[in-house]
Amino acid sequence: MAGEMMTGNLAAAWGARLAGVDYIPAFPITPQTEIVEALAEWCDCGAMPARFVMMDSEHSMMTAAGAGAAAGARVFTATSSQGLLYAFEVLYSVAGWRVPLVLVNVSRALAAPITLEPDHNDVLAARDAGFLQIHAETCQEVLDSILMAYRIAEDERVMLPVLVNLDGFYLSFTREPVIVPDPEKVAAFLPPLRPAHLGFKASAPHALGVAVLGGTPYTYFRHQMHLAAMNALQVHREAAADFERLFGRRYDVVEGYRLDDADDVLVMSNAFATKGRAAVDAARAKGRRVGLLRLRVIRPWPAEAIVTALRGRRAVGVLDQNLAPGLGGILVQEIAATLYHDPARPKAICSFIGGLGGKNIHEGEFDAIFARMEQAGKAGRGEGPVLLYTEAEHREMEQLQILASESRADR
Amino acid sequence: MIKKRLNIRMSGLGGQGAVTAAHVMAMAASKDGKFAISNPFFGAEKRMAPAESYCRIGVERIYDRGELVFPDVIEVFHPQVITMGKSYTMPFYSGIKEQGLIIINSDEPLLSDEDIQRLKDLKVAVFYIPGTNIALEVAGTELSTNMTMIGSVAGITKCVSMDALDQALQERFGKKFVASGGTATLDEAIKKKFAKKEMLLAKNLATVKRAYEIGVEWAETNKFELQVAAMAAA
Repeated sequence: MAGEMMTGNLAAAWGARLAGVDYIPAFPITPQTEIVEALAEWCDCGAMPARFVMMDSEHSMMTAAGAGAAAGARVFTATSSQGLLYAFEVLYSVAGWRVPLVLVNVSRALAAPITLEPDHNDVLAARDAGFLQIHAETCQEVLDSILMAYRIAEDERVMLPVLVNLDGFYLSFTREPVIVPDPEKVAAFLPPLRPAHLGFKASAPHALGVAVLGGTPYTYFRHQMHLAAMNALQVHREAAADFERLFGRRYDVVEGYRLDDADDVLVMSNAFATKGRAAVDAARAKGRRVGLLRLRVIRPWPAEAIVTALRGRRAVGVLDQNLAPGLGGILVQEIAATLYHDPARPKAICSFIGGLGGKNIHEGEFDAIFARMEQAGKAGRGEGPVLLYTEAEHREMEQLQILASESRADR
Repeated sequence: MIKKRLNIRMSGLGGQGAVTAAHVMAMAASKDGKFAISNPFFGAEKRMAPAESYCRIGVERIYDRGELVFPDVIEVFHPQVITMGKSYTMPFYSGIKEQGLIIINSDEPLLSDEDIQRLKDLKVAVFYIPGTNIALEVAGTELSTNMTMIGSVAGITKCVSMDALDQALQERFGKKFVASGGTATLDEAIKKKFAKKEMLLAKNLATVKRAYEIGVEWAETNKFELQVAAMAAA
């Protein structure tokens, strides 16, 4: 097959390398570490003329990233899970500074209990921080999305940081063919960073992120952030068209799979969407007219594209790979709100929770999802949140509980 | 049996190179023009803890990723996977498809009568290969055990060619010598490291070849056939 067999982590590192970044503040965390390891090696051997600095924590890392970008440098950094949470305070700050850096998050479920495999409670916690968010399905898309992220972030109509998300293990450590774009074409796609409002000049000092007293200036700046984020929809459209022209690969804010005549549509995101495609193929082979909608850009929220893809369907199911305890799925709320005002909104919206901590979603579970969606659509009444857990998994857990209680009794 | 896709699950222990083995297999399959994807599964990154990897090779686009629940082939890299239950699934062969294949690195049989019967019912073939002994004999280090696991499955199923394996190993382990731009002493040290790598590469390749031949012979003797279809001409 065309391309090199490459992990999602290495594809992310290649994205930063091809983007010609100037500065990489870093801090390791599983399953992200391979990204900064590769970049450290390339900076060390001279393959990348960038400054690589190992920081003492993600909080410092994110601060340095924001400060570097404020000084006019093209900045890249990466983290995951607990690391993203540790950097949280700074995410909001640097977004307010309106600096166009790119942060890669390798999704990993949050403690407690602690684990390594992915779900999206980490990245979705950051959805209101002012970072734009692109969620990747394949290793190729990781690399391509980083290039698109710089192009969008650095556009004067946007000037906001972008977070590119890839799933731990399912992409980070998974090797699949990745085409590394030609550097000259990348240069044509991504012009050098020349920000009008950023940069460091001793003769012209200025301050960023100053204190404002009173709601009037505060609200003004927050409104500006929102409007800039919304501008990113148009900027993404332009970037996607140029990207397709140069590299032959097309990325839209959402991606449909076998939607044309689909009665019922399942909404997914990230690497598990690949499993969703296989499930749609399997269900179609059994005569169900189903399709898949993959959310790719989560911020700005692509409301129009979502309504266009989902209006007039019998049932919509949203498979959230996250759980807000006491509420349910996170993305289903936004989908439901988006569809509410459309006169041709689907008759039922169903909410499913799956893939937590990287738990597999089996073929039988997809069968059940499609069956319940059909039923809900016919009844005109949605359901959920449905927490996916198979009988076999339940038995396995019971076994573990028996083992645990036996070993406790032994003491 | 000729299949459109071969799913291989490699169950090993941390440090044995099960992850590398799956990656090398997928790289080789891609070089052969097939569709391939590989990924690992592990918990704490420590030696001798259970570590699994998966490699999917096929003639059609693969829409599956992550944990491999229904393998055609299971490779057991270490006896403890069976004897001490160091496996993410119990028993270690759960999910194996009918007429599948299990390759076990051991110089003695490890399966209970019950396991033997269950695998027989599923028409699953079991092949023991003394992989660690072969690695010690051919490469002079048990670190090359994973190479015997690559070679044996390739020899039996022909899911990847020996040529492609050669190229994949070169790509994975054969780094080009680059002068450091620093002192002559540093260059000398790098050169030495490089020479050592070249030797390791040759030894690894020899180990793969040896196991490949053993696999071919076993498949012929036992009239065992489990292969991936050839790619249709583009």
